[in-house]
Amino acid sequence: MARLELEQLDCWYGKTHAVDHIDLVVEDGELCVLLGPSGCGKTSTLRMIAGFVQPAACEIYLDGQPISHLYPGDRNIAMVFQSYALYPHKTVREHFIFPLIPAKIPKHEIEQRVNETADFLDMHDLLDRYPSELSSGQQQRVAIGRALIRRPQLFLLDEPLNNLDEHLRVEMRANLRKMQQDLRITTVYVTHDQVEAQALGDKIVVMDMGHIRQVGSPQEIYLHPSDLFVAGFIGTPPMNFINCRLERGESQVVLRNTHFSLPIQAPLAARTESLAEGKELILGVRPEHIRVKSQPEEGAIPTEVYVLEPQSNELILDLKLGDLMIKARDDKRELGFRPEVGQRVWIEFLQDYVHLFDRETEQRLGG
Amino acid sequence: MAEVKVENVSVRFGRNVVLRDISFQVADGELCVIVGPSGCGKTVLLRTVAGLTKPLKGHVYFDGKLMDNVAPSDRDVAMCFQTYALYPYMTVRQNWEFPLRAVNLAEEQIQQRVEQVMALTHMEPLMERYPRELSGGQQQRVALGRALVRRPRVFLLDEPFGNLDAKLRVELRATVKRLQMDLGITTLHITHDQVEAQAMGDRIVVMDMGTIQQVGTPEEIYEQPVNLFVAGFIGTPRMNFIPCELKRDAGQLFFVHPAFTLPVPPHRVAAIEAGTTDKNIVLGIRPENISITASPVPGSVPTEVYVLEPQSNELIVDLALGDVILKSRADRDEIGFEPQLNQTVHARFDDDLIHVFDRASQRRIV
Repeated sequence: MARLELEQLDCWYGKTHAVDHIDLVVEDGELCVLLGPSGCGKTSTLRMIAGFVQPAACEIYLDGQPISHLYPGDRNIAMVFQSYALYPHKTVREHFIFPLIPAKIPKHEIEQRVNETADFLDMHDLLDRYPSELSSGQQQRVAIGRALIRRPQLFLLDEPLNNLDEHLRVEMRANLRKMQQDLRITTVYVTHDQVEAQALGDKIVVMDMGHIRQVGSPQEIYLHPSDLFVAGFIGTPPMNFINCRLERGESQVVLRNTHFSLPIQAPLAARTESLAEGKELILGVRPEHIRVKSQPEEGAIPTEVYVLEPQSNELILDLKLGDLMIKARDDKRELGFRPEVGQRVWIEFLQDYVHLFDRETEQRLGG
Repeated sequence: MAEVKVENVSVRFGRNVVLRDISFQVADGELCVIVGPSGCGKTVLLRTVAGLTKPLKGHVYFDGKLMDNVAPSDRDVAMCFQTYALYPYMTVRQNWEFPLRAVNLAEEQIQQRVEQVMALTHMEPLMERYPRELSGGQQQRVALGRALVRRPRVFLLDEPFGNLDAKLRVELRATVKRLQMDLGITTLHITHDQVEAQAMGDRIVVMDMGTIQQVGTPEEIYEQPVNLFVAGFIGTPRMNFIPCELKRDAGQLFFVHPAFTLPVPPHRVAAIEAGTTDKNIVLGIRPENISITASPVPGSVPTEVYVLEPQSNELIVDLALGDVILKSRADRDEIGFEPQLNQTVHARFDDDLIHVFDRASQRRIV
């Protein structure tokens, strides 16, 4: 069982509190992604798990055993770096053999593992090449093979796909995920790319300024972000945020903004029950949850098409509502008409997917 | 008026031919995006239009006037670099005033232009700051503004969003696109990012290895890519490519692959047969045009779920079909069930949106 537990993990770089007392559990066989903008503490966290950085008082447990006093080499952890860090003077085969030497593994077993690894990564015809004779994607696979051949208990990856061009990244992502699932190896993966995090993670840990903001499955953090930061970080184009005020009419609850007055129904309305009249809120709605219509409709808000951004089979519409800019995203065929810049269109928010945030605390009103 | 015409331009660096017989036109006021993988020659092309690089052969025309012997500073082009190249010891205002003072523009006009661009780029509160006191996105706007105050004939942008984080990139795209639209300045915009190219370009020039692969609107290059390269470059996740054979059997035409045999949709047979006599083809189908069901449906092939990739409101399902891995993409609600790893699911290709490429020439047949 290779369960990883971080208990009050904490570290400072000079006067910067890089990681602020975080607790985290990664279950055996899970792929846990540490996601956040640069400077959030994700790489520092990874480096503390690896043992390259000494945390302030705290503990790290792997398989129930404390490891924070151990040197990196003694932790039974393998790591893949963004820059691959391959040995320029060694062939691919030699890269795979090298980590097994200190462990005094018998020759025939070394050979077996090299073959298995080459199989796994589909690299048999590349075993005698040097790194300079390999493409980026191939180099990346060597780095992965070198890490996994040791059969570590924990696999750490620090933005491993960053140096690859987009198409290769998308391809390698799926292969990496498949590999991790087949091996059932406990993995911690650092990235700033939320698309990548969603595609790969069993669990995503969203970090910001040394803190954990939310831990959850890709679906959870997408559908139920805990606060404004997580809501705005996950999803592209990002969620639209509109300031509004809570108003209680006779028969319904209304969100009022300078430009519109939006009545809301249960269950959304129920989340505002305990709030005072006039409470300042932020309405959050994702571009893909806005319906755009070419004709006026009851309850739909009139806006002006400011810019159009084609996106494969979809269209992103930048819509002007007074001084607000709202992005809507729709499949071109489902849109049903061809919008033009300057045209008046009417928008409707899908209430099942509308979020309300407390403007002061930035927390999402639960539900 | 600034129509840009590039005619048979070739550029060589030492023994490397980096641009090979490039010809295209940019209409007055158009935002033309040049996109391609790194090393395709797009920056060299931009520098040739600017006059910073001399072509071995070929010509550049602005409004029909030959530019070959016109120095870059006399071409009335403004260029925006990926690294911004702001004057570090000048404030934002001074960065903008400088190029106008350099051409002895009247003080009143200088102030007028600076005010206009300040409003357009929303830089009002930041005018007295120095570049080091600005964020990446703000510096970007200063670089853009410095080019815009000159009211150039042609606006050249070299990967202007390259150094910005994803969120800011997405935000600035719309701003720059609208700005360009309002000002009506003919613009050439370079990027390696095909998503950016589609979002911004009135027209897109797709390049690879020093040559133009296709010129068209975002819709044209997405829906009617001329060859395998363009089809695979534009759109992510990439179009699925399945090499297979066309075979006739009992009066019907089929796509034949070791892992499956699929009848060619009847209404497309004529066009396919007219387009090629070679039976070796590549079947192309975009992820969003593959639908999956838990049970077989007419025209579907059985596949195995290889990997699942959640993506906001969508799910990318990687499907194993023999030795091929296909990616399918659909709104989670539309899929209607929760695919499981290793589950057998049935994949159907949208009849109207199957592309067929000639395997040898790599050109699209239908």
